[in-house]
Amino acid sequence: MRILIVDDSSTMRRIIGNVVMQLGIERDNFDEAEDGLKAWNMLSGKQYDVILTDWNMPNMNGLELVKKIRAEGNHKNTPIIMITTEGGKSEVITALKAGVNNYIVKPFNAEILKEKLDGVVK
Amino acid sequence: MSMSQEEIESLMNGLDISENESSKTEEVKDEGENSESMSEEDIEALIAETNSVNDDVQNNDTTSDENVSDESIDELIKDINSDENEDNNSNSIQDIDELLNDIEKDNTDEDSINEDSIDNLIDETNKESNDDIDDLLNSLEEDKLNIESTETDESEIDDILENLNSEVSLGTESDYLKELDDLDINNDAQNIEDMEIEKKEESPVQEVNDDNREYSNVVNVDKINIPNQLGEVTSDTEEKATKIFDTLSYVLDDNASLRKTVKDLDIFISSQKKMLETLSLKFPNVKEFSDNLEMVDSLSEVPSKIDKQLSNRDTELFEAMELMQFHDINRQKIERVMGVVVKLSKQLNSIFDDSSGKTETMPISKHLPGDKTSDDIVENDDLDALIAEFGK
Repeated sequence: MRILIVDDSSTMRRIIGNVVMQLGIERDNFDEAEDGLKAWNMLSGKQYDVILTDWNMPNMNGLELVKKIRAEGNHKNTPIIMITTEGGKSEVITALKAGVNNYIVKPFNAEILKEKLDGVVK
Repeated sequence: MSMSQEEIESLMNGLDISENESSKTEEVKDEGENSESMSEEDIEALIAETNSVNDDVQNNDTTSDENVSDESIDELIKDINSDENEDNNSNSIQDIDELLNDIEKDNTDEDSINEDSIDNLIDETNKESNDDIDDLLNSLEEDKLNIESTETDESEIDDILENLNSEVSLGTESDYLKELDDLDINNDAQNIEDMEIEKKEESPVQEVNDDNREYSNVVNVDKINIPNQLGEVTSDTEEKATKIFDTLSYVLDDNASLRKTVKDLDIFISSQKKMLETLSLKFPNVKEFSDNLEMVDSLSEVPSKIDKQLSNRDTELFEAMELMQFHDINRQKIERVMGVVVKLSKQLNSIFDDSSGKTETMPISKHLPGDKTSDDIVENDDLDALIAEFGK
């Protein structure tokens, strides 16, 4: 399984990567992008099984990225999990309406991510 | 000389004597005419008078003694008159001469006085000027002596320089370079520069100098700028968090290698256990086999214990890594504060018409963990319910 991790915080990207590795996914099977724009560029060159993205990022935020993925390109059906600090009900609804498959509020633990990942992959 | 009566009469008629004299002669004539009868005494008197007059005429007329005509008489009379005038003139000339003499005398006196005073003045001035000139000459001589002394000093300096050069030439260049190195001037200069830099960086309040004297009581905007400072905090903590994460990752990697070693050890212990069990069965009398077998049995559970401990440490490390998420959360909280500050700054700038617009807009989180100001926060159960409602 190939995973794309999108977050402007390098620490957060490593945390998610460690969690992903705890799930048995090798380091070579996931990539990192520091904002939505770079993620969009990476998506044009590679195929991913799951996209884990933050919301608040410079250049292109997570919501814009989700809308763009769902609107165009070859990842229209790729599962997307939004991992963000935005815990407001309206934000969750907005993200779900935009096309995310699941939603994780920071801080999270490995079990929650594993559960969510299992849920979207299945 | 004697004159006849006729000659006397002709003389009397011809003489143009002065009015008084003529009047006298006329009176005499008149008296003679009036009284034709003159005595001999009167005639003699008259002759005497005419003689005296003739004598006078003769005395005055030196050019013609005997042959005197009427014209010559007139000339004589004129001469007489002129003589009289000359006498008068001579008198006046004498007076004038006397006066002139007196004046000249006075002038000579005055001139003598003036000349004396002038001479005195000239002497005095000459004396003073001479004194001044002497002083000047003396000073010039002194200067000349000084110049000579400085020349002697310069010559002495030249000698000293020559001595110094000779001394310098005695030492090699390397020796002096070594001495300079021993002095450690470069290090001292570097230390001074470092101290100055540290001194400048110590206080956020700007130093008072000519350029910013009027702002001496104002904080250093570049250092106190809140968004910049908060940005530095987030970037610094990001950097440090990355280093912490690296350390935790190294520990995890070491645990993974230890786990691998423990696994090898467990395999080895298991094999040793099997071997010792076989040997103890075949050689029950050999005590060493039985003792080693007991030791291996006691060690057989050690690898599993180590592995479990390593797993616990890994879990703790993962928990620590998960806790590192709060760095991201705190960073976003800081960025939210920065966003508020930037908005306030923009509002204030709009109030004060500052169109610099140096700050950039940054993404701001609406909701963050720990926020108690909103009822819109969803719990995990509500989140699952919402996701379920969307059929995902």
